[in-house]
Amino acid sequence: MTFAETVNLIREDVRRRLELDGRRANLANVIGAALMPGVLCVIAYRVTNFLHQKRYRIFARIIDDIQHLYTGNEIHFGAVIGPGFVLGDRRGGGISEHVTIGRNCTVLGGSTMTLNANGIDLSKGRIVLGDHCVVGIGARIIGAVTLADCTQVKHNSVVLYSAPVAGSILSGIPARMVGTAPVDAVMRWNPLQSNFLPEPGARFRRAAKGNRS
Amino acid sequence: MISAGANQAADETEKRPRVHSLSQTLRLIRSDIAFRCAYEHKPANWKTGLRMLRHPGVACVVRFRLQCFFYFNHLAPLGWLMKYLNFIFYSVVIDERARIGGSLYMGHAASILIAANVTIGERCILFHQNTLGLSPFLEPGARAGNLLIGNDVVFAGGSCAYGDIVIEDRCFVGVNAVVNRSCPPDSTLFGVPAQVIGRRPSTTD
Repeated sequence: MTFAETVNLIREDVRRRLELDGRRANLANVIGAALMPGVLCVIAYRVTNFLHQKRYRIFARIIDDIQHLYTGNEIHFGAVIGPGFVLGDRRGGGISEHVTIGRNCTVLGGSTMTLNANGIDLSKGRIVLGDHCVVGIGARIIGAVTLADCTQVKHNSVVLYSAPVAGSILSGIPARMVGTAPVDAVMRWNPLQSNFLPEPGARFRRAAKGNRS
Repeated sequence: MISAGANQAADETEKRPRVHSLSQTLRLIRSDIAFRCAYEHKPANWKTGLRMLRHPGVACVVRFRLQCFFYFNHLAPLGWLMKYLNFIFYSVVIDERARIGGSLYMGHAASILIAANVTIGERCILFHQNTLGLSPFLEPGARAGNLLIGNDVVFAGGSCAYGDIVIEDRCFVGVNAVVNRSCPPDSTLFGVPAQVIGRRPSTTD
């Protein structure tokens, strides 16, 4: 992977985050977004992944440690993550080196994805997430699990088995399929928007407009 | 099933007016600190109250109250500053449009997220990594709506609640529980998704 490709991936990540937040992609918003812990962690991952492939692993480790101080998330530089990856702004997440994530996935904070549990042989298998997956807050994905495209893992569930059906919704400990959502609707879905009814009597424009500056 | 009386209490919570004035904000902050003092069996005087401010939980709640005050009094940049400080220090994000009653106790201020569509009653207890009102999933048949939480509700660590539901008074939401259905008063909720596994002893019994 060349440096230009890495920069393009970073650009794609920041663009998707701004798009989901409902902000325009101007310079001020890009700088503001790059200070958000989730975006910063993803940018640091892209850089460390580049350094890892160029065999500068010691610099990758140093950058990883510095971003871990600020964001509290940890994405191992050996993970393979597609463009348009959005990570939630929350501490305590971890993505191990045995993870492959597709395009336009959203992982909200506090999620752990690792093989290293239940006595599973680390040399066997990978965790594979398809495109447009949504992983909720505090969800754990453990063991060599393959999730199909547009899978949604709900809050605090622990995924131990694969989900081969596209658009399935997983919930529970251990997670089982509780339903399916239409695939094309999930691809258009905005996971960062909380579904709420706007307050009718909002007095001030700022308050009515919300946190999208 | 929710009884009619329980619904009434929830309706009163929903109708609570939003706090705008400085005196009301200060009263709320004072009630938060007083509740914290009572919770930790400390005397509720000025000295202890000011000393309480160095607790991360108290500092977060105070900053949130100021955030609301600033946002609704045309001082949005200061409100944003309060929100950002909470965010970078403790990863606590509370939307200024969330209606939170007095005496909020934040046990461990870490990774708490409260969305705009949440109404919380008085004397509510939050611990770390609570997520209230945020539902990032596309589910067929799910309704968008406001999350209503009654008085004296305890959210243990890692618990989430979302959807168009009512969590009634004095409920206990257990560790890592995910509440997506309404529940009767005094119930104890556990599991993913949460189920009522028991009833808390009520003071009226």
